[in-house]
Amino acid sequence: MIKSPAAAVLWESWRLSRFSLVTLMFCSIVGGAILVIALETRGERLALLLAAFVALVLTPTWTFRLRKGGGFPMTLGFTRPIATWILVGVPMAYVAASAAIVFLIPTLFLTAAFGLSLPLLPAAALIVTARFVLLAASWWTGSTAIGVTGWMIAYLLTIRRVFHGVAGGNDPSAGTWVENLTVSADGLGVMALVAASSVGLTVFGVARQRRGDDRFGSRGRATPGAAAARRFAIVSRLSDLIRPPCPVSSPLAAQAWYEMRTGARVLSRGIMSAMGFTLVVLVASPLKEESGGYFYANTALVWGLAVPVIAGARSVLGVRRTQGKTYLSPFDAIRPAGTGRLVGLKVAIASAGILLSWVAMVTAFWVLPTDFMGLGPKRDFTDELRLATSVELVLAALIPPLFVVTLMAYAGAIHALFLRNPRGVVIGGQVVGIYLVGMIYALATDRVTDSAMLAQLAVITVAGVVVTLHLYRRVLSERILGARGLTVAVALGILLGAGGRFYWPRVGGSGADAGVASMLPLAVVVLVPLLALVLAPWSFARIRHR
Amino acid sequence: MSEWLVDVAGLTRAFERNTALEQVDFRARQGLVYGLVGANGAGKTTLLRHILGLLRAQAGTVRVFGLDPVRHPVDVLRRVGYLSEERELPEWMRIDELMRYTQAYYPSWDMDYARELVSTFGLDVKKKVKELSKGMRAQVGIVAAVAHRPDLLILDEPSTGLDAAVRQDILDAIVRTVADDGRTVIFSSHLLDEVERMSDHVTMVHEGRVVVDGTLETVRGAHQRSHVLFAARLERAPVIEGALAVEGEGRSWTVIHNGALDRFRASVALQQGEVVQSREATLEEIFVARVGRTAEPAG
Repeated sequence: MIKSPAAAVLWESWRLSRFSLVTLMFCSIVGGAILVIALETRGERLALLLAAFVALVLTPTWTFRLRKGGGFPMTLGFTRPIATWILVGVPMAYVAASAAIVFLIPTLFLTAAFGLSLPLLPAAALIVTARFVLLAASWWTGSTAIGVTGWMIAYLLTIRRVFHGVAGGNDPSAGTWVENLTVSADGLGVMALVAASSVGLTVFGVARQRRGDDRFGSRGRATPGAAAARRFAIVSRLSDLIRPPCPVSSPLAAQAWYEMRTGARVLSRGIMSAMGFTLVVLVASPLKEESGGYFYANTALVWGLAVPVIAGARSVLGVRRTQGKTYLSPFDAIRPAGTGRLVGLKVAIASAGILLSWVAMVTAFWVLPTDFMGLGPKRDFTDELRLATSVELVLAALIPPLFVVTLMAYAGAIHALFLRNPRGVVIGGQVVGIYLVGMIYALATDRVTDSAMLAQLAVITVAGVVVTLHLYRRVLSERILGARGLTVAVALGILLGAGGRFYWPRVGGSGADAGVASMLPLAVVVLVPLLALVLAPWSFARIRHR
Repeated sequence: MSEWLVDVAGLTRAFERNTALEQVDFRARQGLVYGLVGANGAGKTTLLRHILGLLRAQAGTVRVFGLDPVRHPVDVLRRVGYLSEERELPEWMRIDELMRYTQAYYPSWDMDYARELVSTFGLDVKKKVKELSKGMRAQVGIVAAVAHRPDLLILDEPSTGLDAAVRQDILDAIVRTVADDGRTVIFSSHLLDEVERMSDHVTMVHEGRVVVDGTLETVRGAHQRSHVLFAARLERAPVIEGALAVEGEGRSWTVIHNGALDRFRASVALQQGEVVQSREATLEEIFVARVGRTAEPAG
């Protein structure tokens, strides 16, 4: 029996997060082990950074997805007879503690397994404090724009502290990183004060949301595009200025119009990221390297490139899970349109959004004084372009879109499969993770012979061929894809494979004349898009026609 | 093509360990209104979702216009109008955009009819869906569902949570749809008076099984509500042939029953009782008797 409201909130938090927490710890252990085995001394630091990143960034996202939009996520608690400070304080403390556990258990495991000496407790204290600050930034107001901005600032400051601590500034050879992360007693006092202030601010903000005083508080329905519209009201208003009429000439045109509007979140986030990147570079430029200019600009660049991909991956097929049920809007599901076409357009338009976002990022990168970032002078890149052959230029233009399409197809398919069977997908991922750790360990310690490696590649290739053929047969027999859709899928797959074939020798792979062994990875390159382009409609059909 | 517009046979569906539908048969003919009634969780929405092809039959078959709606979604859905219980519409769309968008999918879309309905409902076409009340959303949903003059109109709880005026609008739209020659309507509802008023045919679903199925006249004609007086006081509800629900105390009992009235009278007489009044049961009485709790019979 649960004896108090605080215990009930704690229990609810545990029930919502327990599976995610175990999964996150597993990811940190597997990823950390791969890094330590593959990179040795540098891997040690990167493993610590990975564990810190997982604990800092992924824990809250996975734990409290009860509500779309900004503000305090556990709004069901608003109607319960419970004080706001308990409603807010208990989950905050829980998330902070679970972040520490998600950090400590993998790093302790790595320490024991590989004999490392990682500065765990100071780093954990930093993570706990940062966790309080990050939660406060995203929970205290219903405005996602304000929340995200606060979150980004807190995140950048925290990561910079960890980065500088772990990397010893920007000098990878510095050996003082353990000392850099040590926190004094005064520092611990400041951290405690920061954490307490964060809780206070959040309780104040959530109390306002609870009584309806927060004008940004979102209580809307979870419908397609609604969350995006709320989160990016400014972008939404701007896009209203350009509102082309829906074409009625064909269902395809109408659907493209619809997808462009609902998929606008990918583009809008990308453009906002590009704007954020520009702002960060402009602010960071005078700071130069010694004051962290490098770090801020590089982080903003990586973030700016990753944000549209993450947004696209989570929303590409428009599938979601609400109250334990996998859900596709009936508005989407009952359209008299074939599944293959629905999925094809969704993937294509999400990919276009990502590519346009990247164009915005590249443009920003190009016009800004970014040479100081250590990314090399832009002139070098221009010279590279001049020297490229026409075939290389065509491939250079063709491969990124095809790559993004493949990426989005996989993201949509895995997301759909995950929503249908989360445990199955996670367990499958863990099995693959364990296999990868084993393989990398075997390779790093020369415990695998060439013939064994070849045999494994052959098994993977054959399995890939069997699965791909099986899925092609299924999508044809279930009429998910017609002959035309199938032709497009195969053509795109072959094109990407051809690109891979062209680039393979340039990234260190052996040429086609080097025998079967070196051609097997190339076969995998061809299989990857071929599989993606049927996996996406197949997994979507499993939700559209459950 | 078969004479049945919708032909569901032996349909069984389970969600993990819960059986939502078990051996369900349901058929719909052209030009009639079919009312689907049942308690919450009885399986009505699950059945409708199978007809739309949104669920795949685990056992049994579903045919709409002679086609499997899962394998032929385009051919089936093009001839179907659907109003979902959630009335989920894209929040960012304006009403006029929604009309145009829906029009693109249906070659038979009748824009004049859509405009007429929008005008009748008093909707502002420049408003976005997110600015609409619950009732307005339902009205927009019904316009999108009927303006292409579908051969089959499926409405899932169309009146739930709506005020009387909006409910009337929806019912009028159904009437107008049926007035078009050969249109078929299948709708589920909790409001039994509404089903009684609108339906030609009633199907009652209980715990995943069809417990009553027939034309409204047949169903009502087969169920009576009788007032029975016994010679002596009864401590417990009497066991009477055909009784579905028994209520009362002492000598006076009210019974909802089906089957032949003569046999019912004979069964009552055997227990020194007399049927003092009998009339056709209402749909609500039948529903409660079939689906609700019944008094525990004596003996």
